[in-house]
Amino acid sequence: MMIKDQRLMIKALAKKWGGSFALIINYQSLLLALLLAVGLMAAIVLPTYAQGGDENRPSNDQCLVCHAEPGLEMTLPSNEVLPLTIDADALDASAHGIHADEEVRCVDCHNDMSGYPHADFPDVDYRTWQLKMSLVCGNCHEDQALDRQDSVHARLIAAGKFEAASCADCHGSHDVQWADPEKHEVDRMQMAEACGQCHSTILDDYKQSIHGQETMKGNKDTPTCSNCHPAHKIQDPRSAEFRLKSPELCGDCHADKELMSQYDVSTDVFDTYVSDFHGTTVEIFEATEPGHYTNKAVCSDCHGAHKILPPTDENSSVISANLVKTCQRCHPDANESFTKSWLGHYRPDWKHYPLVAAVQWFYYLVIPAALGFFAIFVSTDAFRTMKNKGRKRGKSAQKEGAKKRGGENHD
Amino acid sequence: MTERIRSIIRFGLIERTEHFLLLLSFTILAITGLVQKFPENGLSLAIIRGLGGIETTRTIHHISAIVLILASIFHIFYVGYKIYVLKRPMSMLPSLKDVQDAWGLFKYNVGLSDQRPAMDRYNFGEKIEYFAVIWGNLVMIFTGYMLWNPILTTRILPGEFIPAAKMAHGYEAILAVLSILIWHAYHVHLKHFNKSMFTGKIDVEEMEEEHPLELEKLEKGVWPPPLPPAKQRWRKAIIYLPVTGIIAIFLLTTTYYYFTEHTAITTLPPRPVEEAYVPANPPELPTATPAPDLAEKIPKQVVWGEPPQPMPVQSHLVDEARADCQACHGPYTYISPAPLDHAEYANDGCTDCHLPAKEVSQR
Repeated sequence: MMIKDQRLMIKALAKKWGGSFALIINYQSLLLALLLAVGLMAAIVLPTYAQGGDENRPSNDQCLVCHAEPGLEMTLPSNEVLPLTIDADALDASAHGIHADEEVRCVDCHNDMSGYPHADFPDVDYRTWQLKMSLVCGNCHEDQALDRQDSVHARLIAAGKFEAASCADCHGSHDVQWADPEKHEVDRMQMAEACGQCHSTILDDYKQSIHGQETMKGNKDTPTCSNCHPAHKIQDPRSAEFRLKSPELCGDCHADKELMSQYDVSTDVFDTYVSDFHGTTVEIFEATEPGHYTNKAVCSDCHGAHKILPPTDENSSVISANLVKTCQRCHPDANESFTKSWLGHYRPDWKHYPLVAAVQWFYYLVIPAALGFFAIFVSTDAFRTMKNKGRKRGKSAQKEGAKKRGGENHD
Repeated sequence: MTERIRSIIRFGLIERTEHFLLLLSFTILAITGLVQKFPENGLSLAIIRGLGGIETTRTIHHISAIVLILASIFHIFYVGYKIYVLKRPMSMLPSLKDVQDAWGLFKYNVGLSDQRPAMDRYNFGEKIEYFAVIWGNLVMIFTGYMLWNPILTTRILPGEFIPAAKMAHGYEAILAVLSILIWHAYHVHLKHFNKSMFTGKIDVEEMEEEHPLELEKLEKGVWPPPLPPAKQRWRKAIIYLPVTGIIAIFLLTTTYYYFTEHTAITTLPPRPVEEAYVPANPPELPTATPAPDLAEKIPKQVVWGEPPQPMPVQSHLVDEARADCQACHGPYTYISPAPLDHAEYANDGCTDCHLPAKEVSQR
């Protein structure tokens, strides 16, 4: 009632005083005005550039007016000297540069910059600030950022080991490069080098391996680091899950007939592994107890993980001259003869393993012969037994019938 | 006519106990073994899960194997005792008559003959089963021994025997299980449920069909043949028991070694000690680009949080940038924006009021 009255009054006043009825105060419009004022002030006082597409956000040129200047640097509270000069050419050539799908401006990442002079630099050291900055990447690259949250690197950082990799350590910051080999021309060896910044000994091993050698020649089929350790959701390779899954990881390529035919590499390796004791057990563990560490060998236990050499190489851990040493790592009492009990990823044929093939053929003949004999005998016997039962029943029925008839006659 | 016997004692307590142990160990071995033979099957995985994982499944398999081996060793000595000391007839031995019986029964079954062949205490079907068990046990125990003790085996035999043993162990298992399911299950479960292995007794009707010759001898009183005199039995037992005792000790020791080989390490396979985090170059801050001559003229340090200086312009790094003041300081930009009323001013006019610090001091 009251509100209605107020509205009527406002209308009347509006007629009287023209457009200036806004001066009339009621509590609703007061609230609205207050909200609008706060919003407007917030918009003016706290400019945010996080969202792309705001055409008023400062252009890169505006930032580069200062930051392209050589020698620009600042001392952090931790006494580290942070260079502030940006290589404008590298920035343009980067994945965020002039060829990016969407325009990326400095302030899209440096969204804590609200004009000049800039806000106080937080009281942290360089690495902490770098890790804090890496959170910005997820604003646009959400999937990758989410994947990364479970990665071994993210876990290490969460555990306080700040040297573990975050976005910019692998991708670069202002010179960030395209990383999707399916969409762009990517130097795959450069990707491996990125990991090698921290994992230098592993990179050295990789470069000696057959995979690394081929990758360095420009082969695009061979794996680099991220093919086995998927870049963002990289798992701890020491985990039970990774260990149990690793044969399938190798099998993804090594059981691929089309891929392997180019290199004359056997595609039986996965199946023969799974049909043998080690592989069978590992597969069972993966299906029933995926969190269980198994001591049964996986591919990398014999072949090595990073320094994989072709089995024809004289330094290979699986060449017959070195095999006994490799077996002894798990079977300390193994001898030369023990190593021959492994079929070397061959399917047992007459040529390589005559004894195994003979046993196999023995059972190929004996099982059908024995079961065939049993089946014929059992089925004929069952047939006769049923027939006999039927005849007996027939006979007894006849007898009963005769008795009945006899009884009737008697009556 | 005297009243006929209704049932006959067919198996003693020892035979029935042996059968029960065999039944128990065979079934457990078959289940825990076949799930390993077919590990990709969903049912296999469910059973493995139910048994508490593959390691437990294997332990159960091994324990059952020991039971089967002990039962087999006992059987050898028990049969030897019955033949040598008690002079029991070797009624389980196969003979030409079994082949004739088999052929005769087949002809009768398919209707080529009207006469069912009369068979003795053990008919040919039972003999097939008995010798199938002997063959199967021999194969399974020896190949199982090789698989359980590959280190010891390969000290004596070439390595190829291990995969051959695995092949034989798996196929023999399939043969054994299917034989039991077809032959045994048909004869003692499906055809008629023969309980004599559990009760020890068999009906006369069943005897008439399956073992008429034995029944005939029983009724005549010539079966079973009488035991030798006690004195003679004692004399033989004194020889038999020590000899078999020594063999038994040897066999039991072998059996003990069955489960003592240390085939592999029980921990994770050792990896080459690899420190994962070995930075190629210790991570350093990127070095600043060396500044050209200009650097000497301009202040190097940016002091964060310095309050804005309205006039004069104190620190300005880029001389060229002055060419277009409004690029940064236009009324709609974010770097110290000019007041709104400056919107109309041309760039040239800026220095009318705003001068670099050193020029201000010169004036």
